[in-house]
Amino acid sequence: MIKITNLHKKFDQLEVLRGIDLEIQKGEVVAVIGPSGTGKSTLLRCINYLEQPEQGTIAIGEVSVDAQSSTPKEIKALRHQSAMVFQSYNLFKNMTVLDNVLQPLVTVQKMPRGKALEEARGYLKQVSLLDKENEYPSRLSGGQQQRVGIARAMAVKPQIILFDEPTAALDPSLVGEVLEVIRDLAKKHTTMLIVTHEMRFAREAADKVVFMADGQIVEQGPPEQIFGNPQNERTKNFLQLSQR
Amino acid sequence: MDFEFIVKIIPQLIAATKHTISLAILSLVISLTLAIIISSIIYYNVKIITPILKVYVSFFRGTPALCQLYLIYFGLGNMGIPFFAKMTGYTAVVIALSLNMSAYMAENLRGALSSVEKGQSEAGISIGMSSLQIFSLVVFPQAFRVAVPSLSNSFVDLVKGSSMAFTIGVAELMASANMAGIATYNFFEAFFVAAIIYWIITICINFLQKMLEKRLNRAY
Repeated sequence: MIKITNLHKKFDQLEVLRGIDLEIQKGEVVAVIGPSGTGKSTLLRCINYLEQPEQGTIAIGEVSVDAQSSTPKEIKALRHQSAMVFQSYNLFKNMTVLDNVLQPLVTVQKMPRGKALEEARGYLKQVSLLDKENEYPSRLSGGQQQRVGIARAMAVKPQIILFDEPTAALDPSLVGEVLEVIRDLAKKHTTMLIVTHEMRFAREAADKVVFMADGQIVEQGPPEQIFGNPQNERTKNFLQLSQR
Repeated sequence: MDFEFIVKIIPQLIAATKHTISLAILSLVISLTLAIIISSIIYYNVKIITPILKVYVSFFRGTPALCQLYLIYFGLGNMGIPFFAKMTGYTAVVIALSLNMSAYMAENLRGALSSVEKGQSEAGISIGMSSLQIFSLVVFPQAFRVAVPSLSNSFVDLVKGSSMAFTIGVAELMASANMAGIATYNFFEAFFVAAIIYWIITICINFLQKMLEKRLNRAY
C-alpha cells in the first residue's frame, strides 16, 4: 500500500537519505531502528512532505508523488494520506485537548461540528483522555500530551500514522502509557511507521523491523530475524551496543 | 494654586480629551492592522516585500514622530497632491501616529510570532491545515498573547503622542490646556490638570491590559 522508491534527501552538502526503498502493507506495523543521525526522522518527515526530498517517489494508496516533478496539489493530497506524531508532541497550546483533536475534522475536513465532536471524543476515548477534553496542553503530563498527539493524528484518518520517536522526550515512567496506546492501535491493524529507540517495544509490537544506518536501509525483516539472527555486521554491532 | 480656576477648566479640558481619545483609538486600529500585516509578511519572509518593509520599519522607528507629522502635514500638503492639500490637521495626526506606531508594533509582533515554536506550525501542516489557517488559528493567537503588554504600551504612547497634534492646531487636550493657560496666565494649573487627565487615561489602559492578559492566560 505504501511504496517508497529510491528516496534521496540532502541538507546542503550532507546526504541524509541515500536511496531508500521501502514497502509497507496495509495493517502492517513497521519499526525503524538505527543509530542517531542516520536519517530515520528525515525519512518520516519526507513521507509527510515536511521535508522535500530531492529524488525518488513516494506512493501512499492512490497518491503517488515524484520528488522531481511534484506539484503543490499532489503534495497536499499526499499529506492527507499520512499523519505525524512528533517527538515533542507539538500540540496547539492555545487550544484545549478537544479542540486539538477537532482541528483535522473541522478545519481541514470541514465536518459539521456535531458529528466532529462525537468523532473527536471517540479518539480521545481510545487514548483514555476523555476526562481531560477541556484541559489545555500545559496542564497535562508529557505522556498525556503525546496521547493527545496520537488522537489528533487519528482524526486525520490517514492511511498511515508516522511516529517520530514518540517516547524519546518522555520521563521513563510515562513511556509505558504511550506505548500501550500504540500497541492498542497495532492490535487494531492500524498501518504505522514508528521510529523508535525502544528495542523491546519494536520487537514485540512490530510486524517488520527496518535497520537504518548512514541514510540507507541496511537490513529489514520480521523482528525475530532482525533481533534473533541479524545478517549484517552493522546490525549486529548496533544491537549488541543497544542491548547492553 | 488657583483651585477655582482648576474647577472651572476641568469640563473644558475633559471635552477636549474626546479628541485625544479618538485620535489614539483611531490610530490604534490603523497601526495595529498595519503591524499585523507587516509582521506576518516579515515573519514569512515574503520575497521583495520583506526588505521594503524592513526599510519602512527602520525609517519610522529611526526618525522623530514630530518630524514625521510635519513631513506629512506641511511637506506632503505642499506637494500639490489633492488628498494631502485638503487634509485636516486631525487626519495628518492620525496618519503620522498610525505609520509611526505601526513600525514599533510590527517589530514587537514579529518577535512575538517567532516565540511560537515552529513545531506547532509543522503539526498544522502535517494535519493538512493551510498556511492561513495555521497563522490565524495557531500562531497569531499565541503571538498576540505574548505581545499584549508591549501593544498596550504602544497604546499608551499613542495617547501621549496625540499631544503633538497641538503643534498643528488640532483642538485636543494639550491645545485646550494651553488656551486656558494663555487666557489667565495660570499655566501651571492648566497643564497640571492636563497631566492628571493623561495619567488617568494611562491607568485605565493598564487596567484593561491586566484584564485582557488574565483572559488570554487561561491556557497557560
